[in-house]
Amino acid sequence: MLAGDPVLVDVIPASEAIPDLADRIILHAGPPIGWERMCGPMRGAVMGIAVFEGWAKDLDDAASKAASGSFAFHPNHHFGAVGPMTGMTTESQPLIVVENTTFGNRAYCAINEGLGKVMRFGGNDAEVLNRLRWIRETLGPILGRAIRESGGIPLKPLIARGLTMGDEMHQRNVACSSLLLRQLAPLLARTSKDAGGLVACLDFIGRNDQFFLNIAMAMGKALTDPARDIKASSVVTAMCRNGTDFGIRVSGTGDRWFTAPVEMPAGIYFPGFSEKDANPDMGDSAIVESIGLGAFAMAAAPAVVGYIGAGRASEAAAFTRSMAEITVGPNPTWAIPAMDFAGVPSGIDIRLVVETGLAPIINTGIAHRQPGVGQVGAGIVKAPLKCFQDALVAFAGTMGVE
Amino acid sequence: MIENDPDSPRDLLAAPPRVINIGLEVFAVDLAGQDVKVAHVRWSPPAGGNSQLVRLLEKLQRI
Repeated sequence: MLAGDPVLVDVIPASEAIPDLADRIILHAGPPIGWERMCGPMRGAVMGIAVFEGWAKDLDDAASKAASGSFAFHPNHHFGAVGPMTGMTTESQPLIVVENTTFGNRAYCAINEGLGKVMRFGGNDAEVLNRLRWIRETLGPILGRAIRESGGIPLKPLIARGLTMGDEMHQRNVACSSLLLRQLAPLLARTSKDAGGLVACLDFIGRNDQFFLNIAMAMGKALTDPARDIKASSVVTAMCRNGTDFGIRVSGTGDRWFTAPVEMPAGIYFPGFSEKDANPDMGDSAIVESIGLGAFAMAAAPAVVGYIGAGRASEAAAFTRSMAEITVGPNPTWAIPAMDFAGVPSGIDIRLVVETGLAPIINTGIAHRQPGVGQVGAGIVKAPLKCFQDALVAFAGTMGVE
Repeated sequence: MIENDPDSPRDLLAAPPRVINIGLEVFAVDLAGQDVKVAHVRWSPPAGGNSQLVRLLEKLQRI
């Protein structure tokens, strides 16, 4: 994971990035799940994306078709992709492409839609679908041209700088989003074919503090994929949730999922909402914790501690120190100034998680439990220990230990 | 015994308690609530005391 060199290389249609992503296939966040066990916001997103792709005439028709088996559901992780919260990925969406140039593999993630009522939180009304259409028809192609013109944007140095500017790359991406836009702006201006579209793109990216999150996620997937299927390695290669189950994959046990019921996030709610409105945790975004960012790099981002209701800013370093107890070691490329430039704790080892009983912590957004409402807060959630305990038993089996 | 030695048993009993609490945090919280100076050390048995998991961890460590 530390040897990888992730580079942002393109934005292309999903059907081109993932040729196996055929008609009526819907990729979702988290481990495998069918319609019958999906939570409210995941169902809301499925209904919305089916209308968006033209597979259903309206939301009710989409729900009916989903229930009758008209759509095939698969995890993003099975196709080299990741997606935040509900994590919808379908054939016509533009996908961010990150290439790990050390190992030659690529990983994908849809473009961040911004804050408020969005599909990743289960939103599916006309405003949400129109925004997705604009992303598909305007933003995606313009971004793709600009990134190709750059020859590729190396992400390791960008993340390193973001960490010194208060980002942890999960719930705080304001520095990296700004740094990226600084690089992209002249490229966008040079390659854009219409002034109106260019203005709209610059405005959209500039107003979205979380724009970089989806790029960080694709980067996380590109860095963890080469670590899959290494015999005797007890390092976690994926952590994700679908709003019903939490799932992990471990290098030495291949692509097998170890799942347990996902927990409720603890955090702060937007005005007018409370924990009664919250859905259990969702998203592939825990891929950033899997590479030492997010809650693992909390010490770099004291401002985010208040936003997610995780205590006082002075307690941020305690999260990072705690996660160092369950990881293989620090990543010297990504240093945290407030911890004397110690590297972020990287490579979750299931043996250390089980032995210490310290569950990985994840910074997260909180979705409303009903379809179509959207984000209602932000907080932290713990990975369920059962996933790691079951994985340890299976891992021991691969080592001939019973 | 040295007079006024803070580590002497007599002074240890006469002086206010200085406490290191290991394990269950509730004891540390209760003491802190009574204005007793206490340092808490987070500790739990390996693998939460699950003997099967402890045995697997020990065997894996020997490989």
